[in-house]
Amino acid sequence: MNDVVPTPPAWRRQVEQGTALAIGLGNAATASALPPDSSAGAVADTVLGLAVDGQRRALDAAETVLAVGGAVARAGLRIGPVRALAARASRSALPARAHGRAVREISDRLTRDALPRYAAKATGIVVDVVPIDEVVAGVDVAALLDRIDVGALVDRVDVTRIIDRVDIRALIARVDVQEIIDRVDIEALLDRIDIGAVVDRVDVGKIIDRVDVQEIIDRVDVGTILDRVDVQAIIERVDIDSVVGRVDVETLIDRVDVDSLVERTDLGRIVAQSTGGVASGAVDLVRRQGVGLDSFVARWAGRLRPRALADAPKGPPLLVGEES
Amino acid sequence: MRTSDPTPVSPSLIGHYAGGVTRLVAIALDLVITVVIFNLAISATDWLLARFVGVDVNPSGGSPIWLVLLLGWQFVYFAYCWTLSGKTPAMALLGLRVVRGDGSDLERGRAALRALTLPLGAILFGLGYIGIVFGRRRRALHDVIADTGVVYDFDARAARLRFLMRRPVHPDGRT
Repeated sequence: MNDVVPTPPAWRRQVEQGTALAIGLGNAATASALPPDSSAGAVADTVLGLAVDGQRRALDAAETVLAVGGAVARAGLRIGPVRALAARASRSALPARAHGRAVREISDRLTRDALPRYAAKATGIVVDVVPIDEVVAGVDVAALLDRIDVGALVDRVDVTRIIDRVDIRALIARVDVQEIIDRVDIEALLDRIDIGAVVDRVDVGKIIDRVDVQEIIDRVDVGTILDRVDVQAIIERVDIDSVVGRVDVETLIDRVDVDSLVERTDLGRIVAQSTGGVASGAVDLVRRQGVGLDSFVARWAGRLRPRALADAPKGPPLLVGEES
Repeated sequence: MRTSDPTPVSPSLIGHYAGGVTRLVAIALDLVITVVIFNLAISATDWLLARFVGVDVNPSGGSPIWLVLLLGWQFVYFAYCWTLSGKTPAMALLGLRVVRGDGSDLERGRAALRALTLPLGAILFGLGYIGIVFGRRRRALHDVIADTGVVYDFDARAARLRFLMRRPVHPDGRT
């Protein structure tokens, strides 16, 4: 059979808690003055033990009296005359109760008004008395920070409101940017930057699309640039053989209007004079006239035999190849 | 006087079959050349024999021996020239060359056969030359027999450039 510990009434728990709080405060206040191993401390502990024991006994007796009295009162109230008498007594006590309530309310108000002043004085006294540096030194800041849920703390912060209340311009005006820049180790910063990753994330196409190339070209002083260019050095660095090797000479020549070129240059005249004289000119003339007459006769023959001569070979296969 | 330009488009004609006009002019010139040389040779021989030996060969007589000698000389002339370079002096002047049917160089036997059959076209009243104008490969009868062909052998494009170079240039750039 289990022993059932009776729950003490609420008033007794409050009294006991108040007593414990008073003892704690007293101990904190007298800890430095009354060491536990001193004779004064032993006397104080003895007095405290007797006082607490006496309080316990008194509370037990009061609890017993109240329990008995309550039971008697409840039994008495079942008796009509007693109940009537109690009601009469209760009514007669109403003025006193009202007076007591009024006094309590006034006291409460006076206490609330006076308490801040006393608290301020008490705080000042505490600050003067308590060695703040020792208190702070005794605080394990790291452990304290570990117990703080920074994420939750940040979540509770309304950053937008904070930013709205900040005067950015004034803040920037107070910043010595040059000093900040001077203190930055650019080399170390660049070493920590993954240039490749940065470049990979850049959409060069979009950047180019946003660039007005024509405007840039218009702003460029090409003459100045060319004046600063060492053309001779550039030419010396060019692999002419490689460049020429990549040129499709046949296509290039096909694009040249040689007839116009020769007609407009004195060089052509010099070459003509050096490569042949009147005889050469006469031979060319005879041959060209002969070819012209051949072509004339061939055209007429082609009209007479269009089917046979339409796809006639131009020459022997070894001489004209695919043309035949 | 400005010379007209008969070939406005002037690709290189090397290796192309030659037409009838140039070939006719060339053969006519060659015949003239052979006859002139033959007559000069006979006249020189007649003069030398009459002067130093006292013999009069009388080349102007109607003896068929002179015709045979002339034909023989012409045979040698054409066969030798064609074997040597594929062209006679007249053909060289007009930019012509005789080649084999496939375009390769003419060899001695084929040159001789061509020279030997050259007169057939004339013997057949010129019918042997019709193929030069209407044939697909522009071959005469002797070309068919000897499996030969006549092609242009000069760079028409270069000739045109030389022609352009010789034209006078005005100060404003016009020709």
